Amino acid sequence: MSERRVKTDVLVIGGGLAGCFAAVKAKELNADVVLTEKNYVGKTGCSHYARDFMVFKEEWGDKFDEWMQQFSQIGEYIADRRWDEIILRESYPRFRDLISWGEPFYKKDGTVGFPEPEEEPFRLAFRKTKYRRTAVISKFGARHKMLIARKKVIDSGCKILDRLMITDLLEKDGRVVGAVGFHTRTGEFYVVEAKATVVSSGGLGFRAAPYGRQFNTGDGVTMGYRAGAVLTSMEFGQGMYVVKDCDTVVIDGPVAEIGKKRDRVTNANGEEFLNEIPHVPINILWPLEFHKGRGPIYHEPYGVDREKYKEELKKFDETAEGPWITMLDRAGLDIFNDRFEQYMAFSGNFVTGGLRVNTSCETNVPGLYAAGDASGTNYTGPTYAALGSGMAGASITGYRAGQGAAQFAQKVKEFKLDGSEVAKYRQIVFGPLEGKSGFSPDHVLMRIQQTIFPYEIRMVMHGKRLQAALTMIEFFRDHFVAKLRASDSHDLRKAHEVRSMVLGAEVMLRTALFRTESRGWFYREDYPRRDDKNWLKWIFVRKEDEKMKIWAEPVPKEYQGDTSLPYEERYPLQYQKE
Amino acid sequence: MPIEKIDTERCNGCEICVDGCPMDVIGFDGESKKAFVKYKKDCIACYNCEQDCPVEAVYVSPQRGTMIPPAW
Repeated sequence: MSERRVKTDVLVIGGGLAGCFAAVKAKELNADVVLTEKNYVGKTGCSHYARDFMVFKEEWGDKFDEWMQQFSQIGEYIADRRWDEIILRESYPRFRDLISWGEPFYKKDGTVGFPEPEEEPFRLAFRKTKYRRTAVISKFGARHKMLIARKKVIDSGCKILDRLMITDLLEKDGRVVGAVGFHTRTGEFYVVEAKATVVSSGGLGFRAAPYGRQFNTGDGVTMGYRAGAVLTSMEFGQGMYVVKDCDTVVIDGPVAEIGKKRDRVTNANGEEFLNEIPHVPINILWPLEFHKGRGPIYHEPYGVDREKYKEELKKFDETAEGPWITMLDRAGLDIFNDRFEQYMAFSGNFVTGGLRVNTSCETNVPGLYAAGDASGTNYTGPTYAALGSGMAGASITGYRAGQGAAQFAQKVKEFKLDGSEVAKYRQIVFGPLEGKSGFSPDHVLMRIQQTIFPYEIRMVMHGKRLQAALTMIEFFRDHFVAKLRASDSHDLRKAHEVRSMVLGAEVMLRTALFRTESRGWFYREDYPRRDDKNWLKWIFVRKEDEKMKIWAEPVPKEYQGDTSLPYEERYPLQYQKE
Repeated sequence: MPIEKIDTERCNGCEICVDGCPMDVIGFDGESKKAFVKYKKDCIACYNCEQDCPVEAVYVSPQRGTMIPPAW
C-alpha cells in the first residue's frame, strides 16, 4: 500500500459537531488544522441525527441555582459540577457561534431563521414538576446542519480528509504526535504527524439499534486507552426508545413536548408502569419491566392533539430529524390510532464517559485532547442531564479542546519520526488484510452484539452475568481479534471497529463489575440501592503493564448533595418499591 | 436489510448518496455513471440517501435491520 504523509499543527479525529468546533477554534488561533473522518464530514456523527441544542440564559428567565441543583439531582450526586457550570455558562456563546456559521434555528413564532442576540428562540418547556422545572432546548432548523458546519470548517482554512479511518495514535517520548490510519476506499496508508491531537470520534455504541449511532464504535476512546490515557465512567450507558418493528427511534420525546400529557406506556397486563414516576430520566424502568416478564411494552396514543402532533413531526422530517412519518407509514404503523410495541435498546456509553479530561479538555497524555462523546467530563453522571445537552456539550468541549490543542502546538518542540516506528504501525493497520484465513469482522460484530445487547447483561445487571459476558469478550479478544481477516479496505474498517469494540466492551464490563451499587441508569440486581457511603465516586481505568488498572476516587464533598436527606427524597427515581 | 434499491433509470449520477452514506454502502460505477448498492449488509437505515436523492431513485425499507434481542 502506498503511504501518504500529512503534517499539521493540530489533528482532529472525527468530524461531528465537537470535531468541527475543535477545528474551527484551533484554526482561529492560527494553527494548521487537519480534520479526519471515517465517514464524510457533514453527514455523520450523532450530531447529524440530533435536533436539540440546550441554551441556558439567565436573561430569559433561567435560574442558575435551580439548574445546578437539577443537574446534581439527575446526575445522582456524581455529576462534575465544574463541567455543569461550564455547560450552562457557555451554551449561549456556542449557540451564537452556530448562528454566525449560518445555522438556522426555530424562532419563537415557529418559523426557521436566525434569532437576534437578545431574542429568545423557540425553546421547549416541559411541564413543571417537583423534580424537573423547564427544559431550555432550542431546535436546529436545518436538516443539513452538519453540511453547514462542514462549510464553516473549510471556509476557515482547515483541511478535511474524509473516509480516513484512523486506527492508532502515534506516540513518541511519552507524547502523542499524530495518528495513523488508512483510506477506506483506496486503502492507502496515512501517517498524520501533528503537534497536538484532538479525539472527537464519538462514544462507544456497539453499532446498536437506536438511530444515528451505529458508526460510534469507540475508536477514539480505545485508541486513547492504548496510548496510555485514563478513561472514566465507562461503566455507565444508556438505553433508547425504538419502535420494535420499524427501523426508527420514536417517540416519547415529541409526545412529551407537544402534548400536555405523556402518552400511555403499558405492559402486557395493561398497566401504566411509568405513571407514578416524576419526570426524571426513567429509561431504566423499561428493562426492569422486561425483567419481570411483563413485556410486550406498548406505546399507546393518548391525550395528544393528533393533527398538531402530525404537523410537528412533519416539520421535523423536513428540517432536523429523520423521516419518521414516511417510515412509519411505510411500515404500516399508524401511531396516532394504534398501539405498537416499544423497546428500550441498549445503546452504549455516550455523553458521560470517555477519555478523562480537565476543563481544558486535556487528557493525561501530553498532546492528546478529547471532545464530544469521546471525552469523559462526567457532566451528567449516570443518566442524561437534559435534552440538548449532548449538542451543547459537543460544541463546548470541541471549542475548549481546539483552544487547548492550538495553544499546546504553539509551545511544543518539533519532533521527528523514524522509519521503524512507522513500520510497526503499518503492520497493525494492515495486519487483517494478510493471510487467507481468519474471522470476519461481521462474525465478531454479531458475537459482540449477542453478548452485550440482551437486557439482562448490561441494563439489568448482575455480577454473575457481567462475569459471564466478560468471559466471552475475553475469548473474542484472544481468539477472534487476534485472527481478524478483512477482504478489502472497506472490510478493514470494520475489522478495526470490532477490535475497538471488543476492548471497549472489556472496559465497560470490568468497570461495571467494579461498581457494586446501583445509581441512575446503572442498575445492579445484586446491589439494587445507591450506596452513598462507598460509592459517591468516579471510576477510572488505564493500561498498566498491558493490564487494565481500575480504581475509584471520591467526588468532591461539595458535589455530593445533602447526604442527610432521606433516601426517597434524594433519589426520586425509584427502581421499584425498595 | 434496509436499502433495497437504487433505480438506475432515475439515477442522475450526482453522487450525493455516495458521499452521504455513513457506512460507505453505496458505490459509484465510473462507466455507467450511476450509483449502486455495494455493501448492502452494512446499511443502518439512516435514510440519508433516500432523503437526499434529488430524483427519488433510492428506496429504503423500514424493516428493522439492526439487531435487537427480544425481551418478551
